[in-house]
Amino acid sequence: VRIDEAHALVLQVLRASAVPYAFIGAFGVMAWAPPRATNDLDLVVVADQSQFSQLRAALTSAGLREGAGVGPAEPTDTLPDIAVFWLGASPSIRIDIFIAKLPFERDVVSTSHSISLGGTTAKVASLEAMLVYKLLASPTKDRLDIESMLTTASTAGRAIHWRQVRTWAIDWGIEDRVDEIAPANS
Amino acid sequence: MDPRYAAKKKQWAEALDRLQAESAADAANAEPGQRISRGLELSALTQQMPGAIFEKPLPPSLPALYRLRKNRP
Repeated sequence: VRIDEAHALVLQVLRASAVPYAFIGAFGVMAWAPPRATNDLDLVVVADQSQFSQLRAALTSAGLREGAGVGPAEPTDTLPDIAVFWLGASPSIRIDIFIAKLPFERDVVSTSHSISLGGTTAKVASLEAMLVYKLLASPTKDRLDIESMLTTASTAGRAIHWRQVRTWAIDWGIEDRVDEIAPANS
Repeated sequence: MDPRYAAKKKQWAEALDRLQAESAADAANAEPGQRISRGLELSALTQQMPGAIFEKPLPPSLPALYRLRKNRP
């Protein structure tokens, strides 16, 4: 299975399910920076138990296999924090579905952008949300993604809403990381 | 190295270089959807790379990370 085929299939299921979502991860970065190769799909969905059960059934019907997920961190929670699905074999494509539990994650979906993609539309996280995700992660690759997004925004003359980035960063307690990348007067 | 394998690897590397160069050159002017389409093409090409190995650890739970950060001294 090619990753573009996996992406098209997942997008088709999402659109049919009407579950609010946004692509994050490499696809979120690529919306705002030069493309780079990736071998998985990451997205966040806003879904309750019933909606997620329907989405899970739709993904399974489309040929995806559910693997071991992550969480829930909260013992009383019935949904995983990250549901992990696989499509195809040799190589399998991994699809990480983050189920929105935090206000930040719900904001990521509500502030997502609709983009034209291959004759259809897809929702991707905003540039500001992607900066916060990458600041949270912090390893070298993520820092390169940040530089890449900032450089592209600068070249394209795209304004970054630093106030939004700071609001989310303060909630996460990582405002010092924003200071490292934001213009001094932002 | 098997000449057929070497030729395939060279062909793949050239195509990847070309696509990366094109993508970087017009990144600022391209629409987000165009960049993602290029990224999908780039990724599909990388998947075909001879000897490619794809492994990535599971990401952390954001609620767990949030709780950890909120509870830190």
